[in-house]
Amino acid sequence: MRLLATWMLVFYLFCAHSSAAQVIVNDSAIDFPLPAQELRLIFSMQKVYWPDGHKIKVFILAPSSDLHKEFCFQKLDMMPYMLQRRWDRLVFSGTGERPVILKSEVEMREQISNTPGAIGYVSDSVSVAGGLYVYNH
Amino acid sequence: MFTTINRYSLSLCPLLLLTSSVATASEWQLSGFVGQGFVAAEDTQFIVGDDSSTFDITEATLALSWTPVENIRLASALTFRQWGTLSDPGVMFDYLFAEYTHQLGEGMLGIRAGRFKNETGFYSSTRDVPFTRPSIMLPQSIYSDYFRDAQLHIEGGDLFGMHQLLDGVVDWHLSVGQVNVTEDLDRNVMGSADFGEFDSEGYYSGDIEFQNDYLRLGVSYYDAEVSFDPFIPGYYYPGEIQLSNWVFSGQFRYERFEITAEYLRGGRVTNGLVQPVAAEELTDPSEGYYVDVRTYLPHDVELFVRYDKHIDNTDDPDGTNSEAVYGSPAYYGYTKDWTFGVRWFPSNDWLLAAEYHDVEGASWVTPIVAPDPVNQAKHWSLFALQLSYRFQW
Repeated sequence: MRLLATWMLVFYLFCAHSSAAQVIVNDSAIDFPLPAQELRLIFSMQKVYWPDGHKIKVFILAPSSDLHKEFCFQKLDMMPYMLQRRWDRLVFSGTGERPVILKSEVEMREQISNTPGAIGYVSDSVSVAGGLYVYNH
Repeated sequence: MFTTINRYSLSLCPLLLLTSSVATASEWQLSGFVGQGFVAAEDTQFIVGDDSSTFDITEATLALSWTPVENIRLASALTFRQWGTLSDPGVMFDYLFAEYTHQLGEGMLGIRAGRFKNETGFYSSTRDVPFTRPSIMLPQSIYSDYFRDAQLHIEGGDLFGMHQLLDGVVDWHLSVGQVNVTEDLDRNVMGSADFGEFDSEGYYSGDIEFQNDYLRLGVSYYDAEVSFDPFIPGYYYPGEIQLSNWVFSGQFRYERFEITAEYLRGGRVTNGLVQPVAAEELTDPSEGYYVDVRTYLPHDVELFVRYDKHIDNTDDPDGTNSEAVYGSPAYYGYTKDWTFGVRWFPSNDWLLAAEYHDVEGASWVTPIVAPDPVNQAKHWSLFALQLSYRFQW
């Protein structure tokens, strides 16, 4: 699955000609390490608390957006619809929620800096300011 | 993996502080879907009834989740569903409950009360959702449509947890309550809703599941009991049906391939109904399993092939004993279903699915206690097509 995801990413990068996605968190969550495995659980809505006991608030852009797809391939090493399938199971059985879908990167930056426990992503090309942190490779 | 952490620290401007006090979007979530299908069948009346095909295959759900304070959530879904002869058109709450969750180590513990879904196997809780189930018609050995109504909607309490383990997550449920039973069950078991009425007696279940990036393993057990009250004395008798089933589930993904298998072992104890309660109970130790192999191709196309087998009574696997005693053909004792299907996501929110079932046997063909061999052949087939759209606000 990872190999496929990697090939699809290569294919995608050739076609879409886009920039990299970077993970951002609210400054309340700066102390917690975020390896890819942890990111997958968080964005699958299967890890819902930060180690300090605060709820994790997950924000994404529209699942059909280029940046969201790129984020899934690059940071999660996962195909976007595999991720969606996990939320759908939670949402339609009623047992959980999906991430909050935002309209733009501007809104993403605002929400992440204003929401304690928030995590999301923006594209590399966007300059980041405010009460949030960027995780880089 | 993340070698450096860059800090961008700037003071928050007062305007941003103001907006943070306004209700955030995370407190409400609205999601839903609509699906319209078509089913054509040959040498059977399963789903299609007297006609050879039906468009009465419609599903629509509006799901709402509201978190008024951090640890409390209210969730509800309103569903419209019609499914050929199996489900009459109707609107109902698919679930409606309040839950409280609390952090426990790296995971959480929670309790919910109200109407919620049965979690048996991989697909019970979302079996009516085109986007989460693997096919239009689920493998009937585990997810029988005739008994769907006697096990799907639970009214009671559910204790649950979700914990990190190794490189994945374990989640579990312990539920107790009663099943919400509708007239669909009367018709699917007895042949007509006019013969009498089923009522829920009690339900309890437990399930545990592990999931990581490539593996999913689960075990579940449930015990569901329904009683039957005949309208016309003498034709059928008052009594009850008790279902107790173990389901073992496994799924493995490697690159673009995925293999899924589930195995059910259990029993159906019938007391009354076709004979007076005074006579001895009718115990059918049943067994079922399926193996599903699928591949995820580029352009969001998914192909699958599945073999699904059900044995109504493992003491009589080919149904010959039942034929000798009750007179209904032996092929009512088992079912073998080969399914070939395709699913395609033309865009993120649309799904077009098609599948063909090549079936031998009729153990899960409705109505269960009133076989109709004149219209039900030993070998039969079914084709299904469905277009679905989902939205998320």
